[in-house]
Amino acid sequence: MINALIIDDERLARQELRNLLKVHPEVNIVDEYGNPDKAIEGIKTLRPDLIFLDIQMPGKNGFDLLEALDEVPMVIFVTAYDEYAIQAFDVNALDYLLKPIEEDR
Amino acid sequence: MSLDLFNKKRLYWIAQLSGWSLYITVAGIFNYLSSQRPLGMRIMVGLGIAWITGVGLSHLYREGIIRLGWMRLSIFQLIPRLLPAIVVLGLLFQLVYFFTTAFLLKGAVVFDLRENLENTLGWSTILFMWSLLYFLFHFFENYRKEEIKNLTWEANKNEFELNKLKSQLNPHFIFNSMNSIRALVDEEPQKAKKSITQLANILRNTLLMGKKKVIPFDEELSLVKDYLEIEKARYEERLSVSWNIHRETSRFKVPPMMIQTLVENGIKHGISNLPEGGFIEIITSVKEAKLYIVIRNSGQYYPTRKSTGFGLINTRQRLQLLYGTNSTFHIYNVSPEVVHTEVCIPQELSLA
Repeated sequence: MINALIIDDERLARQELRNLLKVHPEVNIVDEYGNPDKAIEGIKTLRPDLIFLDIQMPGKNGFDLLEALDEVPMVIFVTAYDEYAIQAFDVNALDYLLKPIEEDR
Repeated sequence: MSLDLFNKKRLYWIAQLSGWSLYITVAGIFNYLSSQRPLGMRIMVGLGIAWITGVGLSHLYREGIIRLGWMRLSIFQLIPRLLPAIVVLGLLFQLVYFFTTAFLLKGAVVFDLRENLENTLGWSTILFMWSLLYFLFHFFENYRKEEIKNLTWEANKNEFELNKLKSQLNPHFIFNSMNSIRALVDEEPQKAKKSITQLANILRNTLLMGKKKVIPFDEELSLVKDYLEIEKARYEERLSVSWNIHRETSRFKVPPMMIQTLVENGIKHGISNLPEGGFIEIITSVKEAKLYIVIRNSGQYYPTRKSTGFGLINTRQRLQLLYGTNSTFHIYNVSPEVVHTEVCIPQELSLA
C-alpha cells in the first residue's frame, strides 16, 4: 500500500486524478490540498510515501513547495505543459504526467 | 552604405571607360574593314578625340541626370526630356569634335554640312544607347532594392503574426481546460458538453483572428464570455466575474481576441496567483464617439516581468497598426490589490 497526497489548486484536477487512480487500489489517497502552504503542513504531519504535485499554483509553485520540505517524499509532477520537464528531473521526480492524463500511465 | 556607394562609383567608371573604349575600337575596326587600309593619322586623332569627348560629355550628362533627379521619373515623364537632351548633346558632341579635329589637324578638315549632320545623328544614337544602358541598370537596381524592402516588410509582418500566435494560444489554458473538462464529464456531463463547445469557440476564433482586422464588439464579447465560463469551471468559486457593458458599445468593432487577451492576462497574472482567488470586471463606455474598454482585476502589474510581455506588446502593436495615434492603451495598479487596464479605440480604422 502506497500512501499518497494530491496537491493541485484546481478541485476538478484533483477530482480527475482521483478518478484515474481508482484502477490502482495499491495507491491510497490520504488527503488532497488546493493550497501549497497547507500542503506543506500536510506532508510534514502525514508523511506520505508519494505526492502528486501540480507545478503552477498560486503563491508557491511545485518547486518552491519541495524546497520548503526537509524530507521529500517521492514526487510525481502533474502539469498541463511540459516546459518544466527538465527542471522536474533536476529534483528527482519519479514521473511527470501531462494533463489531460492518459489512463494507462 | 559608403562601401556600397564606393563600389557603385567604381562600377560606373569601369563601365564608362571600357564602354567608350569598346566603341572606339569597334569604330576603328569598321573603318579599317571598309577602307582596307591601315588607319591614318587623321582617323586616329579623330577616334582619340571622340573617346575623350564621349567620356567627358556623357559624364557631364550623368551629372545632369543626377542633379535634375531624372532617376525618379516614370518612363512617360522621362522620354520627352531624354530625346531633346540627346539631340542637343549630339550637336554639342559634334561641335567639340569638329573644332578640336579642325584645330589639331589644321587644313585637313573642311566644313561639310551633310557630314556634320550625319555625325550629330551618330553621336545622338550613341548617347541614346548610353542612356538606355544607364537607365536600365538603375531600373534593375531599384527593382532589386524594392524587392529587398518587400522581403523585409514580409519578415516583420511574419514576426508580428508569430508574436500574435505566441500570445494568443496559451497552452496552459488549453490543456488545463481539457483536464477540467475531463473531470466534469463524470461529475456534470451537461456542463462538460457546454465547456467543450465553449473551448471550440475559443480555438476557432484564435484561428480566425489572423484573417480579420476587426470584428463586431458583440462577437468579441461572446468569445470573452465563453472564455470566462471555462475559467470559472476551472477556478470555481475562486473566480468572480462581473460585467458592465454600455448599450452603445454594439456599434463598435474591435480587433479580434484583443479583449480576450487582456482578460486572459488579468487571470493568468492576477487571479491564478492568488490562493484565495479574486475578481475580474469588464466595463465599457462610449465617450465622444470613442469606445473605452476597462478591465479591472485582482492582482498586481509588474512592468518588468517578461511573461506579461507578449500579450501587452502585441496589443500595443495591433492598436498602433490599426488606429495609429487615435487609440490609447494603459495598464497600471490602482491599489496594491487591483490592476486597471484601459483601451480606447475610435469608431473608424485609420490604416496606413
